[in-house]
Amino acid sequence: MDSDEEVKQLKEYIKNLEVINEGLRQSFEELTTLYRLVDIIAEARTLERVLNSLLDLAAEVIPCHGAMLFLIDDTTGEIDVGLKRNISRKIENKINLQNKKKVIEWALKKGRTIALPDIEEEIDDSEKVTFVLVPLIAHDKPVGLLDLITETPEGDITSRDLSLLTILSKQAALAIENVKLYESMKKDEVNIIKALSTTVDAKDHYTSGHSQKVSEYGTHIAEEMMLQEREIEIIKYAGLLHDIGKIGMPDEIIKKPSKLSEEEFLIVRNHPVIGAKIIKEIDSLAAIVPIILHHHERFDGKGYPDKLKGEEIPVGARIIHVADAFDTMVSARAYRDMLPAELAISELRKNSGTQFDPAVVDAFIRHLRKSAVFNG
Amino acid sequence: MDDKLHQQEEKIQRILERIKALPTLSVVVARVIQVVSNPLTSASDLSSIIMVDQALTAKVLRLANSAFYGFPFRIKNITQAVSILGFDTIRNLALTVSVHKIFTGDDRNAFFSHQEFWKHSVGVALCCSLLAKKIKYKSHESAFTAGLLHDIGKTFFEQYMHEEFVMALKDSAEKKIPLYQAEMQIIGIDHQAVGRIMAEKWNLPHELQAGINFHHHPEDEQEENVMATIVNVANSLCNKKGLGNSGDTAILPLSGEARALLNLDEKAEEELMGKLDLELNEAQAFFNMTSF
Ligand SMILES: [Fe+2]
Ligand SMILES: [Fe+2]
Ligand SMILES: [Fe+2]
Repeated sequence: MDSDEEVKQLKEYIKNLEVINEGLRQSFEELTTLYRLVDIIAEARTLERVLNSLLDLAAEVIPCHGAMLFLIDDTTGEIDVGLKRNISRKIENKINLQNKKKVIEWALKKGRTIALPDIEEEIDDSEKVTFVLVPLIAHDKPVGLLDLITETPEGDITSRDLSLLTILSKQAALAIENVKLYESMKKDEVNIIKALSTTVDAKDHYTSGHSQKVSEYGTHIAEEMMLQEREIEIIKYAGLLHDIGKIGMPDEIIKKPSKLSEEEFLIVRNHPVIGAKIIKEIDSLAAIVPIILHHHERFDGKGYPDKLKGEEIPVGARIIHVADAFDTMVSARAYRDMLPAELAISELRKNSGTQFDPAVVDAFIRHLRKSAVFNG
Repeated sequence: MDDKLHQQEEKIQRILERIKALPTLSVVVARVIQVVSNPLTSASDLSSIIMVDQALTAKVLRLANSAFYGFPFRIKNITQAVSILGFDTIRNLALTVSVHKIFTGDDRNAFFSHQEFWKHSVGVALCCSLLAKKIKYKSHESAFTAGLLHDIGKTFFEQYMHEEFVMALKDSAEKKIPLYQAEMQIIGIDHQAVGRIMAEKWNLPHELQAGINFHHHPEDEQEENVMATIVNVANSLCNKKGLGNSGDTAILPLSGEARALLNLDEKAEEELMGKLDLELNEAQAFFNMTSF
């Protein structure tokens, strides 16, 4: 074989290898993107989250700077804008919703991911955008459509782009179904929790709405302390149910205006344990059990039922403890004629580090200073 | 007796040589098929290939804008057509246009009408696509193509082996035997095998070759059994319905295996035929392509 031929063959060989390599690299990237996607989207609990992760992922396929999520109403079948992200006035004005809906209906009927130039005729080229419409179909039923806005001309879009977006849309459609299901379950759950908390509050008319208040203060403190969203939610429900253990206790004790006897006091001290026992029976509320159990622990370890100390006490319980004390102070009759909030705050300060977690007290005071209620 | 066998072999050899010498489908369409198989091809890449052929471009656009696709706005160019209807659809349309050219011609005998043959081919294609969608086959677009091309071997016989083909057509009608059997007896090779070789020559994907090669006995195909069964069933259903005519008058009942594989009981069949009627209405543009 002469060397020219050999060189030619070698070059051919290298070229082939490069092609294979590029193919492998791309499949690898696609797979990685897809794996990430499944995780992220499956965990999303709100439509906002679904859209945001969807957009981030779509952006890896084609550069898109904004998007709209159209949703189909389960009962009427109407298509409507569900969410928007980064849609400029300019683009918004350009969209003829009537025309757009026609195209969306078509894309949903055909189940096709399509790239579309502006359907409106007269636009100057400098502002040309392409809309990529991705139908979201779960279990053969259209649930919505993702409308991506990109500056990539429709001609540059490849069949790989379209098929990646289609795969993505299948996950997204399932995620949207899940969110809807979750939201309706959530609604039932929240209603049950509220009903329970109203029952607890009804036991003691001096502190009507107490649980609601503790829940609100607790949520604000948790936000101020920048806890995770899920944890904030747990604290919100824990606040509503923190005194649920009082539900079976005799009215004479709960409503007694004067000082409790030693014996009565021992009975009342039992309410965190009883409450934890009640809530333990409800699987979806398992996370709030420790907060209910420990909401009367003191930071210095002199509380009840377990005499936990400092960080041993779950942060949610430390927060509810402060919120509970504050609301009890500001709504107690004895303080009626004073500046209840100011006085309560100085009370919190005074006992910070002994009864209360200083970090929680600080966060609460920061929140109160910021809130309009206090300033007004 | 060995002599006769030898002669037969030589004859088939000559037929094969002839098929291989056939002009290729169309340079443009061959390129289209090639680039669409590459996922990194962009809509404008594909468009620039099709636009080399002006007549093809016009016809593809015409089909893209037809009631069959029913897009609510006018599709102005091939790039738009690709980004709206998809790469596979546009490949199919290009293929349909160029196959139509092969399928048309002057009728030279009473047994084979080009017009009816085209009707049969498009009907089977639409039916294949419906069956494929029904069972969520990997690509309903390629099922469409397989249906469109399944009897393409007959166009070779009609053009290059006219006399013997007419004899086979007659034989099939008189003896009430399937046409492919008559072809085997008289010519020594049937339209399935010829069709497959043509598809191979055009570099069509393997599943299409298999669909063409086994459309009268899908049970003989292992790997692409589903595709072969789809074409087989669509062919029988269209014959039963009397949609067009491909020269084959024998109407064979659907096999139990085929029905099971496609989940097609009597009720599902009725439903499918209803859908086919709707599609046929919208597919006028495909039947009237001669007038383009
Ligand atoms: Fe309590
Ligand atoms: Fe056939
Ligand atoms: Fe046929």
